[in-house]
Amino acid sequence: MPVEVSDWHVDLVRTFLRQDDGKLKPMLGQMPRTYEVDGTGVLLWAAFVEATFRRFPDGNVADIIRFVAHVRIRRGRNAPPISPAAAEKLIISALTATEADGLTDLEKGQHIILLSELIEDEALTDAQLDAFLDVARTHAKHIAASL
Amino acid sequence: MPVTDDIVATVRAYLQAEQEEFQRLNAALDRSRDASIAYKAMIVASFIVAVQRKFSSQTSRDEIIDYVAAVRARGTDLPELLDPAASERMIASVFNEESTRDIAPRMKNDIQMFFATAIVNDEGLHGQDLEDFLAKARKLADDLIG
Repeated sequence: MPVEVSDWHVDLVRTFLRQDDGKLKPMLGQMPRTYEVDGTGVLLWAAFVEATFRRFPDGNVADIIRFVAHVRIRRGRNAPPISPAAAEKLIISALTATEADGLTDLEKGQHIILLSELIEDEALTDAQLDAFLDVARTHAKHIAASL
Repeated sequence: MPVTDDIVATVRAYLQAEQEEFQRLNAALDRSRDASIAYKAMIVASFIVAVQRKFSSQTSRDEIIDYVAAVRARGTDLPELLDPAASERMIASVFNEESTRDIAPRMKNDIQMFFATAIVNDEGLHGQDLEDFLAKARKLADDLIG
């Protein structure tokens, strides 16, 4: 069955990126309990890819290193830790459309945190976030079609 | 076997990023077991003395993260060679009791040499200041060897 990226998936990712926990919790409760790739997963990766291209248009590794360090400092000790090597690999993977080798499933999931941090830095208005998600959704449909 | 003048000269060349001189001296070093232990001790000691010069027990985690990122961002091959979390732990371990046994010996060696060099460069150590640094590291290395 093809993976579909629905309006609900877009709303879920928008709510996550806006850090609207009051709305997010019940939405997470509606997510299917599955390890299969679904619309949420595809959209989150597509949004991450789009966000990395916006932030690192030249693919400058030094900028990526500094960004990851900046994120870890901003998140502080109390937030779940990010593996910096994994985070750098994920960003490079997104920019180069290559597989991030040697990462655990937990480390691969760090792209969701990085996406949130990238968007936080962008300080997008609601309209800009909607436009960003439109682009990400288009990317997600291409990714879903290739699965 | 204590640290020799040849070992100090080799480490000096490395810390000053004199690649040709380092390669020449390194190739000529005594490769006996005791000499290799002394050389390794000098690298470890140079790293410790450099870290103690740059940081202190009061240095925050964030300062170490920031410095490691800055050093790794300088070179195109450094990101691959230097694992950031391992680098941060190695630096912090100079001031705390945290074990770094899980870090591969080759990675440890790379981290020690790169960051000793980076700190010597950042601190602008030349001439007598560099000689004082090397003398301190040599004494520590001899103490480590016992």
